[in-house]
Amino acid sequence: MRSDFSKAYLSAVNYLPDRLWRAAFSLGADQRARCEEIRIRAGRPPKALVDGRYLSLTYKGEMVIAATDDLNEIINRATERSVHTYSGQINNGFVTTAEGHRIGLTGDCSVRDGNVSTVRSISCVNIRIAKPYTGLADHICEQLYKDGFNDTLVVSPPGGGKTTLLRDMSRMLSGRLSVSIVDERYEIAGSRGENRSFDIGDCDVMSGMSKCAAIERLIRSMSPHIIALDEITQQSDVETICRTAYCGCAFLATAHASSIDELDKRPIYRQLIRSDIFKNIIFIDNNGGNRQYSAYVKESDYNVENNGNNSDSGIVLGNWYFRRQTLQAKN
Amino acid sequence: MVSCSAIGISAGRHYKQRTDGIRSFIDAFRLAKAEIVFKNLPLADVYKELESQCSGMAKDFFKKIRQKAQNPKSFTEDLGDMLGSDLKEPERAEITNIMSVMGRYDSTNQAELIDKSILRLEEYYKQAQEELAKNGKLSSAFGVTCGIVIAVLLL
Repeated sequence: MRSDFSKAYLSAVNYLPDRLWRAAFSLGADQRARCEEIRIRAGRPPKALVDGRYLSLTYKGEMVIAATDDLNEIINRATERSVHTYSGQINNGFVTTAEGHRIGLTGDCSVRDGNVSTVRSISCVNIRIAKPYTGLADHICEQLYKDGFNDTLVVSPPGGGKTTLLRDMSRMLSGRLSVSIVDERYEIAGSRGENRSFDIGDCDVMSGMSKCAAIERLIRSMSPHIIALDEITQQSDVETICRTAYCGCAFLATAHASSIDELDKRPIYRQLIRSDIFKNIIFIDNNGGNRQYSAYVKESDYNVENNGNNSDSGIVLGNWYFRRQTLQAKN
Repeated sequence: MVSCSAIGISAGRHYKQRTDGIRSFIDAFRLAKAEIVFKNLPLADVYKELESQCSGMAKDFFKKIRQKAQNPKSFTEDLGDMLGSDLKEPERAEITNIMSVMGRYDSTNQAELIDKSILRLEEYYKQAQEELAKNGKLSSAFGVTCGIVIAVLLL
């Protein structure tokens, strides 16, 4: 797996201009394999996130400073010098590369009719390196779905590994069930045309379309057992899931939250939890790159009103009690 | 006589090639606009389409562009050299300008820029047609006549 991670790093740094590319190899081989993101700010030295710490990239021991032209060149390479092709992604603040790396960008944007028409000057670029963790979900699925798949929400703070787990769970589940992936940002399958950057098994992938539109089309056309989708962030996503739940297909989705009880604090997630769709919640605790996986399994016969949340190992969300279960992942 | 005729015919052909060249670029940019607006194709694929579907000067130009594009670095500084010598300076500048902003904007803005460029190229095309009608045949005829005159004088 280390060699796969090194290859992922190599493919990510290929988007860097020569000067920064050389600096990217100031990390040792082990660090390169463990690197999760490279952050480049104009006028500042580029930094790599390794084991939860940012390390400055240098060349021959000397500090390298990124210039605005370097950042423009990164975006030019990532967009194949075709802003029009990627304007939808740029509008959302990122570009997903052919290898599935997500390049987030900030800067001075020109907006027309509410959409970004071009980025005049880029001030920061963050390359999040997508790594193939094939096999990560095998043990998790075995432990969690002994009696069959139940709707599952994967939760973690940003950069926790939700997409990686979602991707591998989809692959694992597609071995025995029909799984359709809604890949709005091209991150899950990393697919462009017929090429897929990641092993997603026998999943059917709908890329580039909004979640709402894709879910309805997939239900009509692909009759999936499971629909997998990344990052529920908008009210319309929640409304679509609530509207299409209980029609014969289950959901495997991800959501941003820094702790499990935050789900009940953010209005759109509260609505999702209270709609009684998700029976399992997987929480990923990312402690400096060392990830712990916990499952919260809904106990439908638990009476919250009578018993309250009297268990140290579970949590009450909405009107339901979720029993905590530690999961062993194959890391 | 033969050489004078050849010079005259060559001058006439220059007018014809210039007119056909501008026409081929107008057609190419119309096609590029459609590929960008309706298919959102990245530039490499757009140029590939243009190379396969266009003819004449535009076809050769986009073939060279595709060969240059193998190098990820910018190739805009070489654009003038790729256009050959039949086009006049304003026409070359127009093509170079639109090529240098290709891929920098979303499809709506890109289409607007291409439209403006096509309008200007159409004006150049009209001028080129007029010059072809006026000077093209004249150049050939003048060349042949000079040749005959020189031949008669030498005799």
